[in-house]
Amino acid sequence: MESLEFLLNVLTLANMGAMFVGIVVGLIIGAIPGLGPPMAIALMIPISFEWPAETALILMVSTYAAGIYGGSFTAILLRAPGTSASAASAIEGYEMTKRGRATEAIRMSTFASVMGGLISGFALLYLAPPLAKISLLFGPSEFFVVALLGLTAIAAVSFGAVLKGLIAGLVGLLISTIGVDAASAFPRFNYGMTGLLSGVGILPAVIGLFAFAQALTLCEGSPKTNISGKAKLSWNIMPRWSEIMHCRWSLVRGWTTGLIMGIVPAAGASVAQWIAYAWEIQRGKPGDKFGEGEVKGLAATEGSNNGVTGTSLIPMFVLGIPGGISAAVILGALMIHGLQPGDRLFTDSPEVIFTVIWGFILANFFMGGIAAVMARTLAYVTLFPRGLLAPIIMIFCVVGTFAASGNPWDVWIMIAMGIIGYLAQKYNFSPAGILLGIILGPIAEEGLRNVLIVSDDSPFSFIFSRWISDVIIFMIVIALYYSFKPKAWDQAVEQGEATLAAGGKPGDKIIDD
Amino acid sequence: MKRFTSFAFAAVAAAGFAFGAPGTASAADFPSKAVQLQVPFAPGGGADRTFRLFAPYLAEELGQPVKVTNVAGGGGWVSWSQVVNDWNPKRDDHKLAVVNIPHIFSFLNPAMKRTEKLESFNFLAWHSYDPGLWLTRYDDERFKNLEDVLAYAQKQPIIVAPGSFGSDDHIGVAFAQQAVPGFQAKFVTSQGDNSKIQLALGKHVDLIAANVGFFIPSIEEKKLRPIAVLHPTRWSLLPDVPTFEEITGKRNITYAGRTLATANGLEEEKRKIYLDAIKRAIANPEYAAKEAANKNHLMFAEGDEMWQLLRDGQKVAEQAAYWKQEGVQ
Repeated sequence: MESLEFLLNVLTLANMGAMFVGIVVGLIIGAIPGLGPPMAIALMIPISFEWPAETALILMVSTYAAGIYGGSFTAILLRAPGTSASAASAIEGYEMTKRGRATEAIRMSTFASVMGGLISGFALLYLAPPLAKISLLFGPSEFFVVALLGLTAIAAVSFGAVLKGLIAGLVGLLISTIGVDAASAFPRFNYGMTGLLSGVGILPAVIGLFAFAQALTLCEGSPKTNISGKAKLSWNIMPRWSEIMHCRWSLVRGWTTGLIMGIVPAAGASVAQWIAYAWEIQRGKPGDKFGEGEVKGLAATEGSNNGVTGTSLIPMFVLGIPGGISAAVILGALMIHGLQPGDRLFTDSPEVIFTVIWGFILANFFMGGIAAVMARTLAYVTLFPRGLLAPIIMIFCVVGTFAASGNPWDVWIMIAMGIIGYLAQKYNFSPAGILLGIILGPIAEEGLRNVLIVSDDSPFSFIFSRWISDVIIFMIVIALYYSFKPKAWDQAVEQGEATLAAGGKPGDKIIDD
Repeated sequence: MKRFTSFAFAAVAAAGFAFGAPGTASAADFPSKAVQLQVPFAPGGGADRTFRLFAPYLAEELGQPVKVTNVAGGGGWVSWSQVVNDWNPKRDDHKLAVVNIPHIFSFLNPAMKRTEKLESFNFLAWHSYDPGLWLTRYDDERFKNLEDVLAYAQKQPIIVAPGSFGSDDHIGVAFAQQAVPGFQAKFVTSQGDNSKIQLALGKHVDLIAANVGFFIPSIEEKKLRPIAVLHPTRWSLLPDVPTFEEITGKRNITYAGRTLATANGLEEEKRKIYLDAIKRAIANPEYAAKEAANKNHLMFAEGDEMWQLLRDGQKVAEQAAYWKQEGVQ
């Protein structure tokens, strides 16, 4: 492979140094709610301007990969996802932590993320041009049906309480309509408040619904107890072969979802993880305990969000169309360094682009080691008393939200979402459903309205005339079929499988209706 | 919100007390501390990128560090309503604000219920300017020039990707709908310039309405074809592309521009110090080279020249009156 020679270019002191800085910065900012890869990469642009292009870009892609993964630390350990890409991991991950299985969760998360990133990186290296062509097929009709596919995940993540889950999803969709409408420039539901003109952002929503709500939940119960019920932690950070084999198909499903969703423009990790998670729940086997710390669910969500990272760079490098916000910021950096995205990037500057791609692959590899050590240290927060943890999480939520946008309104939105999320969790109205509505509402709405405009008000024939829409509709039908079909693992629970209580402790909330 | 801002102000005031009362410094040692440059969008966007590149050069001229802060939200209005309504010329004399044109023209839209107008802002200088551009897919046999586009759009609606309603790109097409008899358009909205390339190359739309800078690479790669520039004269980067006015006789001027503003009522001496520093920083060839790579066209303008550009832009937006258009769904 001609691209293999560029692997050696990565191994210079400057490039490796940039990679390690990127990994460490990414892991830290990813873990802090509010601060995420796009912001860190944006701040790196002026700093790295004088550097060689490949060194600067290696710094950025390493930050991106590590940032998506770093968000999982706090999601698993505290149910306080650092980025919107790790919100789904908060469900099973934190349930594992509550049952004293934090290190096991981190082991699986690290393995799933590192391998997902590596596979995605190789897809970027060898399949970029053909995959980029597929991303062009996505137009208004496809955006609409992809968003619908994402919304079907609500049924799965509401864990049996489907009606309450759908109510939560509709509340989320309603919240997503707040703000100036892109297709008429009319401000909706802002009640004269400037701060609501741009609507409820995904970031304040995720931080509120999960992290801030979690801090409120921690205020219940004795302030002196810790969340894991453990006194010490295991030092074993390498996943066992048996653990990997147990989750092998979940991992494959997670990685596949990530790879595919990376190519879909504007979808990205925050959508991929939910589709992977829903798929996993629908494929559950008797004995699986989704919603109560099922490691398979975590393997799928963690595999999918890092599976996105490499392929989401494909449309950006080949067509100049970034698949997500981080990719958009990297595109800006690429242009500042005098490089134009497109076919010519691969033919005219192979030494830059292939060096960067190899840098991305190596960053995923080294990230595992650095992350495992960092996560092991971070895992001590699960031994903190609740009385200390809850205020610390609240402080991070407020500071992180404000730092991300500098908009004081976002802090109030985050706190409001936190109260909604707390009540939703308490009364079993899936906060994940609300989040899915907020993320997917705008994509679905814009897609549908554009379809209505270009199809002369005959949307059905327009949508069905496009083969890629048909494929996605077929997937929706399958997802709905499995949503209504009783789950194999759920039946096992109903039959009173004794395994139900095996991992649980008195006082644990069982998410079941 | 109220309590939060007053808390913030208390903190600023306390900081001011600790580091020497603000407003007492004479113009000779102004600025006496770091200057804040407030960008109305989140980190990572085009505006943020430009002003983060600009900050060190402005700092060099001012003799004090320049810190970029982001106050995002409300399509820019969270920041701008602070600038217009809350900034105090004494307390906030070490602050500069980025004001994006035509984004602020959304005050013309009655639905927005905004009380601000152009004159509410204390504009210092024009910083960068990017004229409107229409493009089609390069291998689209139907459209080789603006005449083809106009003839097609007079027979049936042409499908346009203008970003969102009320953007400068949308205003240019809305103006054509008013000015060119029989010109019909349908809009496929999307987020950002990147998505427009996606929509055009994927054959989801016929025409892109955008600005020059970002699309130069796609034009050079022969992926997109420039059809018309929405500027009074031909644009230096695309000398072969006619203006909208050349072909139709109608003056259609839209642009994406960035200006710098300061607190209303700022002392004239301080204003002049900022203005001179901005002027010299924009003229710095090293900075200009960086912005050229960033596909951002720098353009300094002040005083009457700056106000003329602002008023021209507002006139086209008023004539386009997109908020009155029928058929908006």
